[in-house]
Amino acid sequence: MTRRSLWLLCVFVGAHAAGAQDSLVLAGVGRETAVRLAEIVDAARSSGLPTDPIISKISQGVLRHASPERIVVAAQSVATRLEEARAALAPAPTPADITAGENALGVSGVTRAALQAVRSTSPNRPVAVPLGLLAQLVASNVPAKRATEIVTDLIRRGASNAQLVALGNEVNSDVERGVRLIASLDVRLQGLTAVLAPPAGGSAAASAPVGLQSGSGPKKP
Amino acid sequence: MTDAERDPVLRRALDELRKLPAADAAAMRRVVVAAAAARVAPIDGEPIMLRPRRGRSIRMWMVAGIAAASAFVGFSLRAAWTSRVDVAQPLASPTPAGGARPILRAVSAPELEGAAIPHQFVLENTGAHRISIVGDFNRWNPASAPMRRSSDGLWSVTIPIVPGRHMYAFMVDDSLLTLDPTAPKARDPDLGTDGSIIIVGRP
Repeated sequence: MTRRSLWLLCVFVGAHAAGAQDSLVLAGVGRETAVRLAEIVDAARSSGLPTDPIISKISQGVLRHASPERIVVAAQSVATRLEEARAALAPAPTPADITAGENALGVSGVTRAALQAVRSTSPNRPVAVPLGLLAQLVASNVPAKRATEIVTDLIRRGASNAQLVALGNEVNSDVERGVRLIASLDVRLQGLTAVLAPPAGGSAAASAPVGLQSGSGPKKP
Repeated sequence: MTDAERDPVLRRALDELRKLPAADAAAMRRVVVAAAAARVAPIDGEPIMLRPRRGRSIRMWMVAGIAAASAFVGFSLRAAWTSRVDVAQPLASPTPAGGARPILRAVSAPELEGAAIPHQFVLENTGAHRISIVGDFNRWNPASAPMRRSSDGLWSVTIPIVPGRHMYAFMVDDSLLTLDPTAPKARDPDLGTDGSIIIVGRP
């Protein structure tokens, strides 16, 4: 499939379902596949969900020469996760939040409960970056429960988005260099929490960074 | 009759002075040649006519009118397009009840946090002819963000990315998808393929 036909596919899927069918056929995915993909996109749009993640998935599937059946299943999976994310991040998630929630739910181990925990910790602010860090920690083999605790703890301490991003990047760099994941997390969290305020209303125990509860951190008095 | 005309000596002198000098034929030819060279030759034998200024003025008005109409149509289309984009933008402020669009509006902190952030991608590849970046942030469209090559084989592009976690790859020579060696990778849960990962957040 050429680049031009791929782009045609994405543009027209995003435009109108009816028009998309023809364009998809033109793009070489077959009429039946085109109809099914258009229905998925149209249904998501009708229910008020952001459609960009679905279109991106279709486009990626075509670019990677996935089978038509796999592309349809992938698009449907994204639509389902978008719906789940919207419910978990209620009452008024932004499209960016829903997209980030869908991305996080796509990582094995991240649950709807984890999204709800992040939302309840940060009810009035965008959560795309905290959810991104959560997803990346879990994708890096940090247990989902612990990753959720780390992220919510950092939000309570007032960590900025930049600090969350830096933590994720630094841990990734450490792991790339061969440092054990848990060891890197402990050290990086120690450095970050040292410059953050203790969580509001937290006890002495609660003020200890979550990442240090593995036992490798300093002893508390 | 004047006194000078009555005097025969003076009359002869006056008659001599009234005679025209003989014309110089060579000089006349030079004048005729110079005049012919200076004249604008008519096209296809048509007579040369000076157009009245009024005609030119009319043409100017027509051009100005067309320009004004084009500007009006352009602004109208732009306004329509902008309103469509506003509808699609998740963070756009709602239009007031009166329908008038505010020229300035307050930007709250959450809106600022959700705004796209420029990010530079760099890849070293000395053998490629064309590289572009594809990812969740540009709908995996290879035409969206072509990279530019420096003299030492470094390819780079800076594009705005909304905050969050994104999967991406480099498309080399329109066919080969390669990962970013400097970024962590993850497996796409639906397609089973690997992609590079970036988390973007506002400083």
